[in-house]
Amino acid sequence: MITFVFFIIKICILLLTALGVWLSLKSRISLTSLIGSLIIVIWFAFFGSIIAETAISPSETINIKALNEHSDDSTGAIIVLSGYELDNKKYDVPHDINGYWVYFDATGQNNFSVGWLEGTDYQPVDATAEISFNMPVGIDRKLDLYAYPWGGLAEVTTSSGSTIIDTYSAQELDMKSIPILDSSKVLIYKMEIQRIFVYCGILLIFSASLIAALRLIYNDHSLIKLQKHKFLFTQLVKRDFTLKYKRTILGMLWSVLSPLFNLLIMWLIFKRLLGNSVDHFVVYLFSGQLVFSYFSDATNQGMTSLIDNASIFTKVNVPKYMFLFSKNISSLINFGLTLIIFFIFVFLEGIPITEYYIMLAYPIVCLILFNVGMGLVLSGMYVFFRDMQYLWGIATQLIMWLSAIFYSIDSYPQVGQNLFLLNPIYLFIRYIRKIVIEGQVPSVGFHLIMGGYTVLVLLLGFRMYKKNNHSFLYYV
Amino acid sequence: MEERNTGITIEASEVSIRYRTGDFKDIGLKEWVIRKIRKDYHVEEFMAVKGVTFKLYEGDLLGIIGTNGSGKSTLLKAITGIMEPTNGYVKVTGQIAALLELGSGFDGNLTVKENAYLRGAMLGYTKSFMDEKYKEIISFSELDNFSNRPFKQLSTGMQTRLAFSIASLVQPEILILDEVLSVGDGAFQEKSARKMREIISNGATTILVSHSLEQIKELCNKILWLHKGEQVAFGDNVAEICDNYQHFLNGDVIS
Repeated sequence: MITFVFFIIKICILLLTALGVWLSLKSRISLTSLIGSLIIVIWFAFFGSIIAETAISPSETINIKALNEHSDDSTGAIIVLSGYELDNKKYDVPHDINGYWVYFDATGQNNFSVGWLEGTDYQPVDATAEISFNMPVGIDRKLDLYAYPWGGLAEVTTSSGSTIIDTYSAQELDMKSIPILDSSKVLIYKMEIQRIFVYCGILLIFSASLIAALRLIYNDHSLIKLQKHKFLFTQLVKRDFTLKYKRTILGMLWSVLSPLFNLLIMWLIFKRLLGNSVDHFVVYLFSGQLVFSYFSDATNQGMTSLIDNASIFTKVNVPKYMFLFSKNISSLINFGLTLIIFFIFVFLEGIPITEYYIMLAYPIVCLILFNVGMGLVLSGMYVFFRDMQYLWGIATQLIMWLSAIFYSIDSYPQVGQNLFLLNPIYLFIRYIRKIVIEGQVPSVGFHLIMGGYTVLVLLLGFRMYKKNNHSFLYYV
Repeated sequence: MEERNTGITIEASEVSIRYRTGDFKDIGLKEWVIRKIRKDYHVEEFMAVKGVTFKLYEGDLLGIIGTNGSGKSTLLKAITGIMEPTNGYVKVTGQIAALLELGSGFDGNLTVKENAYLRGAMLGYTKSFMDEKYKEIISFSELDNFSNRPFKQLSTGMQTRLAFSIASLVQPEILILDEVLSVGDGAFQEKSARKMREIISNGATTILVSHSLEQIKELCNKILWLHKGEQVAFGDNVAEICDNYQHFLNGDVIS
C-alpha cells in the first residue's frame, strides 16, 4: 500500500515533467522529436528512481535473540544466518556476523542453551545469546537461515516490534526464508519522501538540460546551421562510409571482426593469468575492449576529420564540427554492432539480465558525448600541431594499459583504486561491469564524476571550435 | 548610379580583413616550443582587404578585377562567411551559392554522382531538389556517360563543367563564381555565359571574379577594382574602369 502510493506520486511527477517539457517545446519541434523527448523523459524517470534507491537506503538494526527453546523433536541446533531478502532480492549479511547458532551444553551438565558463535570455531564458551546487524529499511523482508534438522526459536526485533520465529527445519541443510516485520511506518515514510526528493531533483535537472539542449539546437545560430545542413551531413556520412569500406570484401564486417579478434587474442593470453580469479572473464574482458576500441577508433579517426575536409571548409561556409560528427557516426555504428555481440556473449555466459540494464544508457550516452568532445579537442589541436597524431597514438596506448581492461584492480590498495577514477575510460568500463557482471548500480558519486568528465570535455571541445572558427583556415 | 532603397542583397561597408601568415604553418609542437622560448616565433599580420564599400541589388552582376594578391578571394571569403571582417561589416540577404575555386573540394575516389550530391549538399540544396535536378545537371555538363565513374578519371575541364552546372542549375539568390568561366572549351564557355545571363535575368545577384576583361565587359553591370587590398574603383561604368585597369596592367599611370 505504502509503496503503491509513492509509486503513484512518482508517476504523477513524471507526467508533470513530461507536460512541462512538452509545453516548453511545443511550438518548436515536430511530433517525432516530441515523442523522442517523451521517451527520454521516461528514461530519466527510471534513472532517477534507481539512483534515488541507491542514494537513499537507510538501514535499521535488527536484533536476533536465540531463545532457549526448541521444537520438540530437535536435539540440538546449528543455524547459519546466510543472508536476508528485500523486495525478492537476496543480500549477504556482513562479515562480522558470519557465524552460527549452536545448541550447546556450556556447563557440561546437560544444561543445554542456544547461543551465537562468531566465526566457525566451535568454542561454545564464547557464545552469546544475541546478535544484531544492519538491514535496509523496507517492507516484505525475510531472513535466510540454513538450519540443521534441530532448529530452535528466536526472537527478531525490528524498529516496529518483535516476533518469535521458528528456525526448525525438517530437512538437512534446508534454507528457510522467514518473513520478519516491516520497518516502522515513520522510517519508511521518511525514506520514501527522501527518495521522492532525489527523484524529483534528477528529473528536474535532466529535463531542464534536455530543454536547454533542444532550445540551443533550434535557436542557437551555429546549431541551427546544423539543422539547415542536414543533407550535407548525410552526404558526408555517406562519403566517409564509401571511402572507408571501398574495395574491402567484407566491408563493415571488418570493423566488427577486428575488436573480436583483439578479444580472442587477449582472452588467449590473459585467461591463464587471471581467468581463475575473475568471474565471467570473457565478459569482463569484452566490456573493457568494447569501450576502449570505440574510444580509440572515434578519437583517432576523428582527429584528422577537420584537416581532411580543409578543401571544403575553406571554400564553403559550413559548421566545421559537422566533419567530426560525420566521422563519429561510423565509429558509433561499429560500437553499436559490437555492443550487440557483447550482449550475445553476456547471454551465452548465462548472466541474468536485470532491469538495471536500462541504466547502461547512461554510460553509453556519456561515452558517445565524451568521444565527441575529445574528437573536437583533438581535431582542433591537430590543425595547429600535426604531431598530435603521434602523441595521441602514444596516449591511446597508455590509456589502454591504465584502464584495467585485462586485469583486475580489486587487490590494489584503496588509494590506488581511487587513482583509477581519474581515468574516464576506466569509469565507463567499470560502470558496464558493475551493472552486467555484479548486477549492482554504481554510487551517485560515480555517476556525477562520469557526467562531470563528459560535460567538461564537451565544453572544452565546443569552446575550441567557437574560438578558432575563423582562424583554422590560416593553418591548413 | 541610381539609388534604390529596397532590394539590397549584399552590402559591404568599410570592410577590412586582417590576414595572418608566418611561421606557424606546418611546424610541429617541438619547433613551436623552441621558437616560443627563443622568441623567434613570428606571426605576420597584414590587411588583405582595406576599407571596401559597395552595395549590390537584385539582378546585379559584379565583376571583381585585380592583380594576384589584391584581396579578391579574401573579400569573397568574407562575403560567404568563411572569414570574418576585422572591421566593417558585410550584410547578405538571401541564400548564397558560392564556389570559390570551383574544381577543388571534390573527392577523387567517389563517383561523379556521389560528388555531385556532395557538392549540392555543400551549396545548401535539399535531397529532393538534387534528385529532381541531377539529370539536368549531368546533361548540362555533358557527362551523361560518366555518372558512375570515379571522379579522378575526369579531366580538369570536365570537373569544372560539372562544378559550374551544379552551382548554376539552381536559381540561387546570390551566386559567387571565382575564376570559373575561364575554364572549359570555347563551346562550353559560350553555353555557361548564356546560363549566367539567364540567372541574372531571373533576378539573382552574382559576383564574378575573372582575369578575362572581355568577359567582365560583356557580362557585368558593375565592377570593383582592388589593388593590394584597397578599393581603386567601384561603379557601373564597367568599360571605363576596365580600360583604366588595362592601362594599369600595361604599366601606364592611372589618370
